Amino acid sequence: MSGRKNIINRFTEWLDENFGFTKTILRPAPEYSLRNPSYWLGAIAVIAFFMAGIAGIILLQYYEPHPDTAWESVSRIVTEVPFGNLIRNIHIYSAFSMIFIAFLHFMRNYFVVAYRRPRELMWIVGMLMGLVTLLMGFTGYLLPWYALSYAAVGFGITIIKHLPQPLSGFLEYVVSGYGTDVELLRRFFTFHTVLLPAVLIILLAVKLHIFEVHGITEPLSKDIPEEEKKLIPWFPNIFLYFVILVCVYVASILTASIIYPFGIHEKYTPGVVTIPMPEWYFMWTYAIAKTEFIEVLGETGFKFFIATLTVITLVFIFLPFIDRWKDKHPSQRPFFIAIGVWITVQIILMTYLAWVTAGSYIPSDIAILSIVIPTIIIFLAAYIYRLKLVKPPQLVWEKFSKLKITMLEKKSPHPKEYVWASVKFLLTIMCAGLSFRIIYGSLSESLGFGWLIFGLVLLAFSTIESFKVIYVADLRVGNVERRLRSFERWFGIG
Amino acid sequence: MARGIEVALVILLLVQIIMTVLIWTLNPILVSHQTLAAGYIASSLIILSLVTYVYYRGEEYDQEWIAAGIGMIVLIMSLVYLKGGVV
Repeated sequence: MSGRKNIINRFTEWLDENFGFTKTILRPAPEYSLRNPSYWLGAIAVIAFFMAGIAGIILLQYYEPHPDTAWESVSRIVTEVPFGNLIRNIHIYSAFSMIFIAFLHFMRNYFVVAYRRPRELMWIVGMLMGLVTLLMGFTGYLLPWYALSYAAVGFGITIIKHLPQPLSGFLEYVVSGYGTDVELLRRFFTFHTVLLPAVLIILLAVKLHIFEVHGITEPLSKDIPEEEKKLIPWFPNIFLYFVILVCVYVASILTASIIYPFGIHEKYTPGVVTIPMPEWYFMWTYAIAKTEFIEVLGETGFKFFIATLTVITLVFIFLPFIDRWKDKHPSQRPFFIAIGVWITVQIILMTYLAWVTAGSYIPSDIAILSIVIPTIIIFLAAYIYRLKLVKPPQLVWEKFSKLKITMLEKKSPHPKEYVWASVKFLLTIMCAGLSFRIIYGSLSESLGFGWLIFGLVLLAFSTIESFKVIYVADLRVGNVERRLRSFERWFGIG
Repeated sequence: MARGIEVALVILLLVQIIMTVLIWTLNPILVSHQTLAAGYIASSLIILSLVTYVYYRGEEYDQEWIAAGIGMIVLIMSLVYLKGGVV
């Protein structure tokens, strides 16, 4: 054993003498990060990007970006090019895994609050990288010139057309030129192979620089042993760790290619009719767009859909400046955790709904239930958990004595109060769901003006009641004071 | 114990060399041969990760990981067989 290690050691030292790995500028990492691969999800996503890139460069040698020959060239890659089918599968699976791992990386950083000062810009750059990654997926989907992908891209262009002018006209020209298929494919090809990878590499360089400046995010747990906090040099330790990660990752991609190799779909020709079906990572957005509710509202519904997507994206990009919650530990932020879980569940549910209702609309009742039921379960769980965190009232009583809140007991609530508050919260949420159904029914099924008024009153009542339940709980734990101070800071009067 | 792992690694490295050589004997146009090549490359990479792991951890390696790696190779080659990737 020792003889073998000596040979390897000598080889390693020789490499180091030549390349100077130990003098690398890359920052050492704490040992605890090497015990948990979730710290390296971003690095695995980068590996996936480069792997997709290498396979993509090989595919470029045989691909022809023209509507008349694109599908045929892909077909030729699969049937005539040596290892062509395998390389194509590696390219697709690397791209898919890149999107999936980037999403895991995003959710992990959300849950561990990795976007706090001084990493705000790192989060924003990461979010932009995520968007560019999705755009790469979107542009790459068209390249084989399938009828399926052409219809999906057509749907994407419809979204662009509904954006406000002059943005809409500009983007439409950038994406599809004057509307011919030749221009469309050539532009998508350029975006996919040159422009977007270049932007991604620049953003990666910026993110890597910020990462090297600040290092790995500190763990939330305070119980990390001292020996696990010691810094490990990049070479050879982290380098070897990376070798293991890369080997296992590439082996997984190859195994996926063995289990489920991708075939070739029908070619797009002007007469062919097909259902627009985006790739799995866009399914959830597609599900929102093809909900009956959105369809009934027509143009307004589609604008609502675009506005929803825009708001979600902007909220997540600027999350570091929105989330001012004092505590970082997940146990102290049940509602932030609930929001993260809710988003994940909704994405999975919406993806499933879009999948099973391919070719038709998602009925409004099913859509509303698929939103309301997880919302009730997840937020109720968070609410009950939060009530358990209730502490005896503090200074907040003195500050708000004018509101007669001193009538509340100055002790921890009785367990029965947890149950009663939870039931009240559940009822208010159910009332809110019912009111949405009534309002929707009165608008779309002509139930009458009276029902609309009733729905609005019910909505107002349930909203006020649910806020009241939360407000009372807030008073007990002193969050009202904290929140008001936070508002004061926002408006610069604190 | 150290002797045992040395023998295991030597066997794995031999398997890796054989698999690498076999890849060059395949017909790269046939899809079934491409599946076989994917299996060989994936198995070789698992072996490389096992060797790196033992070197990385020194005497503190976990036997469970070595067993899991070998199990993974068996699984991959079984999948290749099931998917028709046999000459």
